[in-house]
Amino acid sequence: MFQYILKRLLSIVGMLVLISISVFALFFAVPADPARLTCGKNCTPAIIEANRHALGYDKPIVTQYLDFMKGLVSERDFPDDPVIAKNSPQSITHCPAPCLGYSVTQGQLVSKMIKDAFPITASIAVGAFVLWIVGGVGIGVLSALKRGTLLERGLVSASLVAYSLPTFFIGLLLLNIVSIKYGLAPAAGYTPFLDDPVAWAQGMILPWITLAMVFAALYVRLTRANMLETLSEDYIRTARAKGVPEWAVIARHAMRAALTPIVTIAGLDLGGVLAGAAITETVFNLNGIGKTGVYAIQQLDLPVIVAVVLLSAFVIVLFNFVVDLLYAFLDPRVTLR
Amino acid sequence: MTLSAGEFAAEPLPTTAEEAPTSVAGRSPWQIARARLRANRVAMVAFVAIVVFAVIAVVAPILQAVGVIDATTLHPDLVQGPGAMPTGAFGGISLQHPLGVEPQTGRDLLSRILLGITLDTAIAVAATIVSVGLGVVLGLVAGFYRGAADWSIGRLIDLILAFPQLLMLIALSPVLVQRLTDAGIPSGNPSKVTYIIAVLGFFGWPYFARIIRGQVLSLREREFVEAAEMLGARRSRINFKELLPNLWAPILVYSTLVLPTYISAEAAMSFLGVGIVPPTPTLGNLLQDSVNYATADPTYFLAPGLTLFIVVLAFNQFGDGLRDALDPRSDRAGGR
Repeated sequence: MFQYILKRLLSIVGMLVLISISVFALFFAVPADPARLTCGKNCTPAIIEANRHALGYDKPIVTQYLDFMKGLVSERDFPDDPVIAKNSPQSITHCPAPCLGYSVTQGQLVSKMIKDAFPITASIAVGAFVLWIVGGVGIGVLSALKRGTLLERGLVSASLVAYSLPTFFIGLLLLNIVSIKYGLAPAAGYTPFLDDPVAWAQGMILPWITLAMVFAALYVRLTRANMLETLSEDYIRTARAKGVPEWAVIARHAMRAALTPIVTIAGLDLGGVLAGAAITETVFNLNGIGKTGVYAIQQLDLPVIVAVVLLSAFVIVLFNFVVDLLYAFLDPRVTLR
Repeated sequence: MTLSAGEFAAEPLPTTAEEAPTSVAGRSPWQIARARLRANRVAMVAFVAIVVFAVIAVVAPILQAVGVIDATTLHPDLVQGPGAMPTGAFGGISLQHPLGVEPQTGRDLLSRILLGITLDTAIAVAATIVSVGLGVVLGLVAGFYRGAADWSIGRLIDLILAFPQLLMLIALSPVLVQRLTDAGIPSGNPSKVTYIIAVLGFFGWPYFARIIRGQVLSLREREFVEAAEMLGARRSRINFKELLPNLWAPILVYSTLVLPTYISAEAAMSFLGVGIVPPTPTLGNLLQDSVNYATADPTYFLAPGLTLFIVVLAFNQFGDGLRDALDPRSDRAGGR
């Protein structure tokens, strides 16, 4: 077990290094010139050149990469130039470790932007996750128990409809029709949970519903299929035969086995959403990780793009790992090697 | 076991049980599947819808060329007022313009949707071919040769799946579209179409490769493969004559299920600002533009959105039916 965890952690680190190298190679080989973005319309080639040098964009790409990696463990200064540091120390931005770089277009440290964006993404993800698990699994179990009834057919069809609606179309429908046109739901917006939990929930309700609809449909189908299979197992018949009450048969005997595979998918999906729900965040204009990434891409803000992609990849890889551990814990038949 | 493998091998047996001609009364697995599919009413309705969309996709550019539909002519006379909203109820619906016209430009909405279906379908089909092609080849290599090949392909898949896909789809656009243009593809939309097909295909193949690899690994434990081995069949014969024919079913099912996700992906990319730009219509850029008028002109917003929804729903339903027909047990394993 310990060996397995160690091996996985090492492979995660290796994977992230590989990802960071590919991201650097891809984005810093971009035709657009990041130094060109550093000054406005009245730019002379000399200023661009000076900025390029000051920000280190004139260094070989390998050096830039190593600087970036070094920044993760030690502090950096932007621009990292002893001459500027001596003449005008106020124009230097200090970036404490872990330093993800400096966004010239935004005039901000990337780590600060990520720190601001992550709570928003996390709020969206956690609420939507609760909603889609409760809704998806609940409807799935219900439709398995009511097999062959009109209710089951209705629930299954509804989930198929939801499954086929593109995320942004659901979001836009909710935003434009439900919220703006008819005022049936509060407008989306972010209030920190600790400031005002009610406002927090109100501002998040539409993004939650949007994401939950997208994901819940899949869970209805999976849960229903797993439940139906489990309910036909011999041990369920045995439990019933020895007089276990029906609710206990369903809740204790059937659901435990039927839901174990769901845990894997739930974990991976949660990781995916925590890595940034770009569409939902864009629809509702919430500055989470996804929207930060999208905006940075539109502005060709390379340091931010690199940081967001790396952070997202890290979350995805981490959740993969956690899910595998959890699964081994939940299912005694699985041994980790 | 009294007979050695060598004695079997000496006997030249050109056909195996799998390839034996079906007797008159017997039904091939494909015939059984077709009968099951026919019995599935929902899947059949979905199939009809897909055929209709396929016909639209093929015919729309022809209709545009001969002037039956007209997706490009501006009708400034049909829009008015501040914001240039369509004249008349429901986004300017009239006999000439059954779904009304676009705000600002006054272009005919129905024509634009029909032509959008063409481009969307073309992109999705091409991306599916790319990802299925790559996925099948690499999945087969991993499953057939196992060992180092399997390991490297597996790690490559892990790496690609660790990238945040949607972000990569849009993030790579500024980098790669320019490269494609430099490589000689006409700039603007042709480069963008090529880019979209390429990235969707690239980020899509790992799923196929995993499925194909898994199928190969489980198939090669089956009796008919064992029998072929006992008969002394060469590795390559087993791979291509015994295993490959059994992979058509999963390839077909997952192609049908992945195609609609590519249609949505095109729309999502348009929505996030890296899609194909007007005047060339796609369902994605129509929706993207219509967002600005969602409350003022709901027809313009709902028409492309619902079209997109119906296309995706039809493919999903048909794909589900196909899976049930080809492998009734597969859904019990937990679906996708």
